[in-house]
Amino acid sequence: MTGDTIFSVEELATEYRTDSGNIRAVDNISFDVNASEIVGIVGESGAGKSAVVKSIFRSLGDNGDIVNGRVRFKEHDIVDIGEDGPNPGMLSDRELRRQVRGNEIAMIMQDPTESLNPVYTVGSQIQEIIQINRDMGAHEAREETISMLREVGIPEPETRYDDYPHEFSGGMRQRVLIAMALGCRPDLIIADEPTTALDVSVEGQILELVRGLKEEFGTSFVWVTHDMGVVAEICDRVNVMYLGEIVEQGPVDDIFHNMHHPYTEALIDSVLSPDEKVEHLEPIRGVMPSPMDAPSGCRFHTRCPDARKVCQRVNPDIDATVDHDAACLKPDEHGYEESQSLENAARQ
Amino acid sequence: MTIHTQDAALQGGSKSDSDEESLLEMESVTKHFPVKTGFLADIFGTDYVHAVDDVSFDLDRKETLAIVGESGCGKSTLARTIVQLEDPTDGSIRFKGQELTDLSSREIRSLRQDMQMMFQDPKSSLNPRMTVGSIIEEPMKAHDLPRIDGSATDAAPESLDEELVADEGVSKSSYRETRARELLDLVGLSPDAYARYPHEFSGGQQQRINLARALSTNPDLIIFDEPVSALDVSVQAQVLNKIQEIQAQMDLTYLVISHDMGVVRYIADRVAVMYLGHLVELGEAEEVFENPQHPYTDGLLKAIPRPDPRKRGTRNSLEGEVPSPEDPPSGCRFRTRCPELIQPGVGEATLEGLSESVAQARLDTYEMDDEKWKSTLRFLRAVERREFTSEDADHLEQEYFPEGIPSGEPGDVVSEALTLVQKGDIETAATLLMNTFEENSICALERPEYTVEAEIEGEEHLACCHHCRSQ
Repeated sequence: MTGDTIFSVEELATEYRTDSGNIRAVDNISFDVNASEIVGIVGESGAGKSAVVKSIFRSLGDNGDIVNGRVRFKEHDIVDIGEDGPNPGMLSDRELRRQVRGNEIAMIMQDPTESLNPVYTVGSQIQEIIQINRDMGAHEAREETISMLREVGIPEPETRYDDYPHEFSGGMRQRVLIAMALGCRPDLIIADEPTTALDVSVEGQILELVRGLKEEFGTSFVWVTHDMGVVAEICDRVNVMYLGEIVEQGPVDDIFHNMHHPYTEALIDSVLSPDEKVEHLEPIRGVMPSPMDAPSGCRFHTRCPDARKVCQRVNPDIDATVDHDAACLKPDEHGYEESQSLENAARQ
Repeated sequence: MTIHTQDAALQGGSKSDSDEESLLEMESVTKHFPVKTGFLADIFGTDYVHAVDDVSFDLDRKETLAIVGESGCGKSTLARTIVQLEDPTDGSIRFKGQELTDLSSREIRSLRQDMQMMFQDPKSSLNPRMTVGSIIEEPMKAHDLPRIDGSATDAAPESLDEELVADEGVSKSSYRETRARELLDLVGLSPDAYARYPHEFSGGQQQRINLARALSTNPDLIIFDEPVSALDVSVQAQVLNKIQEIQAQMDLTYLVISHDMGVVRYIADRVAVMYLGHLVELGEAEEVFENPQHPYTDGLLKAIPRPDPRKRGTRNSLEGEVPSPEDPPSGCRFRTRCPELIQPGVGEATLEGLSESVAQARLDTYEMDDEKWKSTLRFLRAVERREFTSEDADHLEQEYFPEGIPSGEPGDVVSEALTLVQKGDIETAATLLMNTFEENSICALERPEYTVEAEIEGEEHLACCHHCRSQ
């Protein structure tokens, strides 16, 4: 970890056990997050985004295991699993719960309705969290709750404190969750598709709010989404995932204007724009293969317009220490230039 | 099959010779849902959710009309009203020249053969215990298709968009199977999908199965409710391209309900924008996208996050929240959030039916210049939403009226509101400002409905905004 880095994931691999064998949902991924930075994880369904989030919180459920890797948050080793299993420095479940989850790393989920308890008032739910995590008295925590609600743009927070979740609109509920996450003054917030369930106009308001709060509190975010528009709007750096792997990572401007991986390019090109009339959009061919039988070599080669024979054989690496890198053989690695194009090979 | 639909088939069934007539005509369609039901509601009366209010449009054959709007604007209720899953409270729906609201449920059932619907969630709209083949055949079975006709010339139809008529000797089930397999091929699935189950397919493929099912009765109209919003972006284009291809091939008419402006621009010929149960704008797609007349349409287009970090921050978000559909605002329903609200006294509203005091207020013209009116409006919105950093009157005055408070009557009202805010009585201040400015605006007094000349595409452009009154 470099000086500014507060959170890092190193060579993380996660598997799910199923009746028909193990599925590697996350395969050897590395990324880091600096202080006061929003880092995006973007990919389609089945890319392994949720498995990454669950691995970070060690909440994979009964059939999921982290098989390798290290997740570090400041001085804590949230995950540190090598070939011989967990290393001694790794936090116990109790330590993770007490020291990290909630008060240092908070979470915002996709569906604001499911994340709030319908039988308690919104205020009391936030207040409880603040009281526990920040060691405050009831009165002080109430004041803090009201000021957090004001901070996230809820009008008349003194009155809304006593309202129940169903009395809030979808956008307002997502604001409540953000207030709840921020209430503990965490250094890092993991946001899993937080605006997907919202209308565009509300989404815009929430993204604006988050950007402001990041500046104000210096909070870092891991922002998980499938929407390239949201990534462009809010992230500082981006990791593009495909079938359990990070295929490209770099600063947001590079990802959109100087992308190296054909998948990143295809993903950005397939967003239908409201700004211009497109007569015919050439779709990415095929569908994402099942992680049960991931393709050999580069996992994108079955759908890649630039795939060559060598791509079937060699799985390209990504250099996580470089500012911007892509897992692709196109910059002439492993004899890409000489290799025969797969399309030509199929025609012969 | 009833005689009725056979007649319909004779009149309007052959698609080529009735091009001039609209396939679907909606006139003042209204759907209100009671908030409370039961005998107490019968006695004391109840409130109604105004889901769809006075919506009119025509749908021509072979065109694609998209209805866009945010959640709660009434677009799905409108679609359900067309297929008669909901009875409209008021208005008329004519499909192929027949008034749907007059038909019995039995007659409607047989007419549904000509209008099919495809839903958003591909998974939950497919029965997991039925094979793909039987799912696709189900609508044909329900309508007892194919019709057996001794005079049918060939054993099986040559193309997929012919009337479903079979010769006496042909077994209905083998006819359906042949058609189901052909439809699978048409939507781009392998015909051996016939015997498999829905869970074996990806989301995009499941949506293709849904499409094949919608096509099975050879309908005239297909209503798509968010056809691709549950799919990954890389698959969306595949499904949309297929939907368009089939439309051309089978001369279909599409009504697409969507919140995704990108999808709409890609597939729609015409676009209707809905807000809180009202139609606010309707025109040719290019016209609406390039030359939006309604501030809501404009705001909606600007609110979409663009996949380009260099355009960051250029987006304006729509402010405020959608009001409750139980008690929608009078006049233009967008006026409570509109950044372009017209100042009182501008525009000639009919004064009929207004109380004397309101009518008098209507005639008052404050004649504020644009700058002053914008500041006043900004202040009004801030008070309404309780969005200010300080309650100090001097501070507020400096923040919202750097050029000074307007003179005359509006200035007195603003000053009074400032004092009220400082006293902490924001409620009264908001009411005062609302009653003086917003409620007396033409936007609150009269529902706008104007047709302007299209600039980019088409001839006419419906724009329900009072800013279009002079055009």
